[in-house]
Amino acid sequence: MKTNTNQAEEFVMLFTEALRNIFNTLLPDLTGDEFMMCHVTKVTQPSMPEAGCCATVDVTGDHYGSVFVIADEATANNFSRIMHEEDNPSHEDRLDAIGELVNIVGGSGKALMEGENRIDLPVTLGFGAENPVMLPSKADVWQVVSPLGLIVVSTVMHNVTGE
Amino acid sequence: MKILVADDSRVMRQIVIRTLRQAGYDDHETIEAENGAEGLEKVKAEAPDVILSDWNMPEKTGLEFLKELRQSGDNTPFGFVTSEGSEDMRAQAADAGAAFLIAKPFDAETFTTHLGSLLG
Repeated sequence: MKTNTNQAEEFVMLFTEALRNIFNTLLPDLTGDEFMMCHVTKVTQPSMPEAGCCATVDVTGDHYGSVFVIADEATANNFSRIMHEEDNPSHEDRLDAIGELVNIVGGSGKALMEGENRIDLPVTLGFGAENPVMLPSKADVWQVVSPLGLIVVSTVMHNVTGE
Repeated sequence: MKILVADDSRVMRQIVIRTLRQAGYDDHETIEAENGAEGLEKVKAEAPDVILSDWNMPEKTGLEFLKELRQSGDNTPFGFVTSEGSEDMRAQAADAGAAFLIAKPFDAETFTTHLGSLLG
């Protein structure tokens, strides 16, 4: 029987690979540049932007928790530009782009979880000095270093059954 | 042919339409819907030849959209383009009458594989 610790470690390992697959498929495909590659690392002290766009999606069921994607304004703008094919995306476009990233990332995370789980609709928000974004203390955090800028991905997951 | 793309994310609708173009289907007309409810309205109004739908959407999910479509007797080819592709979801999609389920991220080759027989 797998312990919670083993399950958590296995999830982190598989989720890291999933993130590499997502960003190294998405960016070359969106840009048409096969060298548009990303470097994904699990970190303990993420470089959190002071202002930008944050998107989160909740997972509920046998597991519950949240997945976050965070980017500074310039990175969100770069992703939005290639995802929307617009030179000057609006703030709503930037939130939409980061929201879709969390949808993709959250979907991959959910697929790694055992049991019956559901993924909710993404929620997005802009943040800055007056409304900073803070990750939960027990969150797992990854940094995705891409040619378009730095993306912070975080998960907080619990197994409801405790198995 | 006319292709309906249903997704609550504008950016994902654009990416799906762009991927259709990259896969060589740029001579087909595309129409959009923001959720399953609007998708049903667009099916009645526009009679698309193929439907590509997200799974998780407000108002009416992609699965509800497909089930209502089939219950109404409409057999327009329907495929999911969604952020996850678990075995359970693939089974639910197939049971409801979906032709395929494409999980994000995807590329033009994946679209060609699944849509080739439908769009020629």
